[in-house]
Amino acid sequence: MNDMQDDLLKIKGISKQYGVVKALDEVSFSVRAGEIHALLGENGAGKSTLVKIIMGEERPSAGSIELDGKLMEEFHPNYSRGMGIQMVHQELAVFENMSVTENLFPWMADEGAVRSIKWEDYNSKAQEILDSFEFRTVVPTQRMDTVNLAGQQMIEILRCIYANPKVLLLDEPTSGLNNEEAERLMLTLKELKAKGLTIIYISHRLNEILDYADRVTVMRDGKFVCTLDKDEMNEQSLINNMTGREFSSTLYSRKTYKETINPDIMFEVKALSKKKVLWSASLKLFKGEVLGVFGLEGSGTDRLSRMMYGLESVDEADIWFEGIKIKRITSAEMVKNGILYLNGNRKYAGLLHDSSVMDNISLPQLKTVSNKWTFIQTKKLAGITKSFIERFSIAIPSLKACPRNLSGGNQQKVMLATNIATNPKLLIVNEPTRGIDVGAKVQIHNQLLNIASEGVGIIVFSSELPELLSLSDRIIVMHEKRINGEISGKDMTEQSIMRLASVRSEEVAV
Amino acid sequence: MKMSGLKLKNVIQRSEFAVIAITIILFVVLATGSDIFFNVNNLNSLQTSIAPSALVAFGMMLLLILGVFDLSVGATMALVGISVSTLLASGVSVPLAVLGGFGIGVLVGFVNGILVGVVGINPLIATIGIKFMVQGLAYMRMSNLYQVHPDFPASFTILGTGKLFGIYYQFLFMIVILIILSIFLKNNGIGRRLYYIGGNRNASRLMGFNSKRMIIIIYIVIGLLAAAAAIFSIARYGNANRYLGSGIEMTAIISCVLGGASLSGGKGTAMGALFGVIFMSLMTNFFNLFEVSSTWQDVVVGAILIIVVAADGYLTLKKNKELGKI
Ligand SMILES: Nc1ncnc2c1ncn2[C@@H]1O[C@H](COP(=O)(O)OP(=O)(O)O)[C@@H](O)[C@H]1O
Ligand SMILES: [Mg+2]
Repeated sequence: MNDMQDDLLKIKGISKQYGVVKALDEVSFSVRAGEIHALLGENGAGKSTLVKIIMGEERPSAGSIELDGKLMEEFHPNYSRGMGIQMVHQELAVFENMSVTENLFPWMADEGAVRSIKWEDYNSKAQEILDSFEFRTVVPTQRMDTVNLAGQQMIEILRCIYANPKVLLLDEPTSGLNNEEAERLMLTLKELKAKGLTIIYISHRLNEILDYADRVTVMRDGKFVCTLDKDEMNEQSLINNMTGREFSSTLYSRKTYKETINPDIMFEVKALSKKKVLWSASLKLFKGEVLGVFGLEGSGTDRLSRMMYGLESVDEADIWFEGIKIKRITSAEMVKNGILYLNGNRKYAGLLHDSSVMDNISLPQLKTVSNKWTFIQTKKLAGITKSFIERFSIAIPSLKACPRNLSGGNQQKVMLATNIATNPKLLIVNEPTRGIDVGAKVQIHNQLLNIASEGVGIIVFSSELPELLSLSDRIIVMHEKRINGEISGKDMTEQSIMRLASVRSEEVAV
Repeated sequence: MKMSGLKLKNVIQRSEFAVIAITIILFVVLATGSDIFFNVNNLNSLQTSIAPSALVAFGMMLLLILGVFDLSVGATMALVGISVSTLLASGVSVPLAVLGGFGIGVLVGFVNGILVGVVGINPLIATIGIKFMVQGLAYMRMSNLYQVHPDFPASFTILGTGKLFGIYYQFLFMIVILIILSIFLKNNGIGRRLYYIGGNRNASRLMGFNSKRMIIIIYIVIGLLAAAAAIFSIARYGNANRYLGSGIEMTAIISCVLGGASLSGGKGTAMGALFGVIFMSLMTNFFNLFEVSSTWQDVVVGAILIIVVAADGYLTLKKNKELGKI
């Protein structure tokens, strides 16, 4: 690459605020015409938000974008598309109720109101596209819901490529593909680049980036970190830039690890697997330890957490708790055993948003607060609720306040309180502090460490490395739908974990 | 993949296959089991019950494909029927009165469309609210009268009673609409767009489709179709009353769901809606001709509806499991 190339796309001081979360904080960088420009960063770094803004699907809170020297005046998908931008979405934008052909050409309706669609032309065009990509497992007239996820992803990619864009944005296009398919895609991107297409490419696969990207921009916590040229790119530099956060010592105070791990196993998952979703995954939680599970987007951590709690079906699994095999893996059975699951997605699970905080906290323990006639003893309940509100320093106007009107941090605390109030033996927490402010984060961490020291087992699934490092005694790392290794005690560093998370372990070993 | 095997499978998997199959079975039972099924009177009453119901069901089908529905169609029919007959009674010419009826349909549809598409109110709430408002207006116009001026001009009555080769005009009109809609839904870009929007509203937004405008337009279309149904009905019976169209929103939705639609949107065909309506009409006919208490009809229809929907849900679940999606 020569440095004289023109900048095609200029991102100037783009910020995006979602409530208290600053998803993007004055991000500025440029993309050259005809390059493959990789975007790299942990989950939540703001990569998706940035490409959505370029595509016009989100409106920035501040900043502007220039394409080919022209200011982008509007933020609307039609405007961006009109400027020659196309995007492959991280969460697929496919139409399962329609044919493959219709998914490849969703804009064919724009050709005229009274005209009738020439299906034969479109189907044969679709066939050509599929052939040119040696994509033989689907036929144009097939319904999209009969195509597997990798196939659907492929079709979205092909839709964008064959719309002849000037700039192609790809948000983790290879996360659902196997190695061979991913390789094929990367070669195609290279061919397209040779034809002058400019590509912005988000991926967690370091090898892909090292092999195919001309430059890489690293983002962290919504901020631009650096743009590296080809000759500056290597595994080490990428990992360092992704993780090189200055530790605020008060925020993420390292605790002392339990060096001698108690050999008693509290909870064990043996060979949990599900076709196409998760390879055989096994993990153990020893008594008194906090186990962390880390993985980048698409690595399967979220689904593992759900499956081992019976929230999603599995093909096969054995789960043992305190030496006894759990007969049926259902959430009801888990609750009966004193195992609770705390979901990080406050919006969809975990809280009754329109019931009072008191009702939320009482819900899982209606038995304890009810008298023998099954009527709820309001006073007793208020007492319990108050003690939790104090313990968790939840800022609410009254016990009757509804979670919907609380800040994210307070919602999260209510959720944690609701769970801890039942005196669980084991707490599985998934993204316990996603999208909340720093103060609330620290408080939640302290609460978790607190109950851990009282002997409650804790498994934390999180995509925030610093969080995991400060909470866990041991961290299991996932990569591409399998457990890739584990690190414990002093060996746990951001770099060592990030390496396990982004490179297959056989490759790490050598 | 074997082409012939694929084709048979395709036919069976078509969303309207089930309803066509059970309709044919019911037809055979009626044709062989009852000697008055092919009686002219019976065929006439079948035609004139199917035609208006099908028109409303077509509109409902378009909405269901988009992922919304309309509970105010019955009330709209009542208001249109009463208004048109009042207009005729006060001496307004037939074309103008009919035009006025369509105007009411457009207006109600537009308001529904704005509430659901633009304001974003759940269609259940929005269209039930409108249903009560429109119904109130209709009753107001009726005051304590059961019938409005029964002496329609002949040029109006012919709309409801006229026939061509033994087939009612209104039935022919319905067939024309069926053909137009079938082509529109299958081969027209805008028709296909209904399926895109209903199938995945969020992805449609990302593709830049204007789903708001589409929702408004289709609510207007069902308003027009309801107006047509009302006009045919009052012309056929020679009077309008406030029970016109009452409950038709539910039978229309049931017909469409039997015919392959889903409340979550993205599927359904005009042919499916028609067969759903034919099935429902034949059911009524069956209970009449075999002199079974009509209360059983509701039980049977309800049971069939649930079986059809449950079977569809089960097949979808199985397919998704095979593909590793859940
Ligand atoms: N619609 C939204 N509402 C609230 N917060 C959001 C929304 N979208 C993204 N975020 C937050 O913005 C941050 C950046 O997210 P995202 O751009 O998806 O990161 P990445 O793609 O790098 O993983 C995250 O903290 C995420 O929780
Ligand atoms: Mg992302």
